[in-house]
Amino acid sequence: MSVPNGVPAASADAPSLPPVVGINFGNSYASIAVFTKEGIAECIANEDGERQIACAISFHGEEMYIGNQAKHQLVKNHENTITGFRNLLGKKFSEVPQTKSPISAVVIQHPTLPDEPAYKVKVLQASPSPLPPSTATNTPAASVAPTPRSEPIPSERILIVSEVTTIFIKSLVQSAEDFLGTKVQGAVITVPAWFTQSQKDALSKVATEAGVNVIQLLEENAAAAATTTTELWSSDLRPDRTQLLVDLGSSSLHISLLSISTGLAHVLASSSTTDVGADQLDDALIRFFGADFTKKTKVALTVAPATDTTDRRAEAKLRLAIEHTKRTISASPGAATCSVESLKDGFDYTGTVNRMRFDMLARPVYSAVSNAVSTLLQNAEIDAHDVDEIVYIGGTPCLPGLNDHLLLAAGFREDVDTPFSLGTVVGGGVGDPTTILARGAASQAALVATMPEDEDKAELKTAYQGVSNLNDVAVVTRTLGVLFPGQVENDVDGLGGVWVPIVLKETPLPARRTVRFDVGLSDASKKFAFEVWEVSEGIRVEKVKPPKVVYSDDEGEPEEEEEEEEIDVKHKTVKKEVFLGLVEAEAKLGVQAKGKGPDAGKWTSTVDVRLIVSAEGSLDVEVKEVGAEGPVASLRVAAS
Amino acid sequence: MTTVLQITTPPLPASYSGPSTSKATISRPTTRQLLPAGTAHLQHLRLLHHHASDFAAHDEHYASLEQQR
Ligand SMILES: Nc1ncnc2c1ncn2[C@@H]1O[C@H](COP(=O)(O)OP(=O)(O)OP(=O)(O)O)[C@@H](O)[C@H]1O
Ligand SMILES: [Mg+2]
Repeated sequence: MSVPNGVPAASADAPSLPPVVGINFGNSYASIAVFTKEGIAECIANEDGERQIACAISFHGEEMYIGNQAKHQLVKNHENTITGFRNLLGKKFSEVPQTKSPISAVVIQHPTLPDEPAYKVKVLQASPSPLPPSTATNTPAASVAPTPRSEPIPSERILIVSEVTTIFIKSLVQSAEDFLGTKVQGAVITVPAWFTQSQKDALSKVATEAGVNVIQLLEENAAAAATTTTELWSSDLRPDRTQLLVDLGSSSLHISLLSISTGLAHVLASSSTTDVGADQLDDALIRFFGADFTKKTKVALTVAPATDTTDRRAEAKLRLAIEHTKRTISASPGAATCSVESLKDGFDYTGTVNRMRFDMLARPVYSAVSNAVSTLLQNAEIDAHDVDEIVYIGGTPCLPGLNDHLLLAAGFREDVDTPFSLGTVVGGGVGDPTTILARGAASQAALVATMPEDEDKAELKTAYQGVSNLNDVAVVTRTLGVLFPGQVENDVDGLGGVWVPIVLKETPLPARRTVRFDVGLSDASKKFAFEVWEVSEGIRVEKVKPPKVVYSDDEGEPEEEEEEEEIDVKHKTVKKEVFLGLVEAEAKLGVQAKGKGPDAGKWTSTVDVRLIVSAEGSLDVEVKEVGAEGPVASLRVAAS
Repeated sequence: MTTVLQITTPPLPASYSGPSTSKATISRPTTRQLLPAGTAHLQHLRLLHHHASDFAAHDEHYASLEQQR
């Protein structure tokens, strides 16, 4: 676990965690996470074996289906199948855009409640149960045959958005309770960053109605940060880093640039759009398979959009079938199939798509994502080269093609960390984009639920309700560090020494950072010194000719000599801005390297240099020799 | 927490004389909004509101908590 400023965190293997649950409540899919006995937050499957639970509720006769089963009702019973309700929470009917060709139950104005969006579904109401046979003896004996159960009565049911959501949340919590075998004591539920206060209020109310104690409504960015700042995420990543979150859902794209400082996170820039989503990719894929079906069967089929009822049903069937196709493409490099029984006119369909073809179909969506990322970086005046890590969220970023495209198109560093480069995407790895939000919510639920009942619990908790200014924080605007004067090879920045950055730009205050390294000493003197600087950082672009590619294959003549294009190679630059002071010290524990190596005979000592910056901006620098008692030297720079 | 770097700085040149000391201060900090989640965030709140931003007092508090376990 990333520990802030050197303080031990509460150990994760606390005796017993309370039964709390993290809920990722998307508009299209939800997922739930709980703590396992091993103390790890994990996504669990519901009773249908689904970890990604479709946000859908369907009414069919006397039955009500919830989740992926309800989604299947979209084929023959779409009028009575409700989807997309999350985004309507807390909205007025007049604020809801009317869809032209709805694929699920239409949103109507509630018959009596003013400006209230609602759904009208057909149900069969169970008729009142027959009277029990009379046991009285003084009445004439009635027929012993049981009264036939009278037919259920067809009727209409009007549900408002919050009712639908209550049913859905209840079922999620029920799944968690079935898994845990005990009642859930509280939940953290994720909300998109763009949710308004009235939408949050509506969700809180709904959850309460569903019998859920809401510990916190957690912004999706924060849920992601809660997952990606734990030890489990990766112990190899730098604790201070710039992280890009890419969340591609069914009907929306959210990207955020976060500054992560030993577990503390804040947003540097973000953007959201509903113009980009997997739905567009799905349309392309459905058209591809539809055309293939027609080619194979000679049966005409027009899908995405479909115009008549049979085509509409075929489209709905394809839409369900490609869920499997997409997951296969994500999971393995081979081709993926799409199979539908009786797609149209009694003809079954089975077709395949390989990764290359798939990525071609998906390319408009991939490009839209990389364009959005480039625009965000540009607006924030941050170079792609400065992004240390990319984190993917949601279903669609499971596709390796998206990662490949984004890295190239937006020009990230070759060594940028992604869950693909870290190897944590597949096989339920910690980087699995579909589990990050729910797991973060579960961690947060456990953290808040186990807060000691001390003096300031009530006050600190206000930070989670978004009603206090406890989350306002001062950050440094430039990087602080130390410069060791001396001869260095390749001093392109002209710094005249070795630069060690210690407190990076955007680090929240107060901050404490310690770095350990070896200082060189001379034979004659054991004195060492360093300058403390505030610096600005930038990017230098170098044009280089790429190395000549030698074609060793025998695929015909080599192409005519092409004009070699120069490529841009980016380097980070450092420029000294403010000199803050000089620290001089005498090493007492210098050691001389033995042996015959290149360093033989050289004197060094290992030191810890610690910087503390207060919230007001004062700076304390202290240097210690490792193994020695007390500081060797120190410096204090008052706040302005 | 200490970050260990695999570097060795060059020895101080005998001729070195540092820049003339200025009475500079660091640039004025600016304000951001922390995302309210994670253990580090809770520790940060405690450091600020319980220990008045004093790292030493904060450390001591947690060391004693650890001992009570
Ligand atoms: N392994 C996978 N590979 C590719 N696509 C996947 C995978 N798993 C899920 N998806 C797709 O991801 C999409 C759902 O994404 P997500 O769960 O992020 O939706 P959401 O956040 O509810 O969407 P939104 O709020 O934007 O409507 C669906 O199109 C689904 O088919
Ligand atoms: Mg989403």
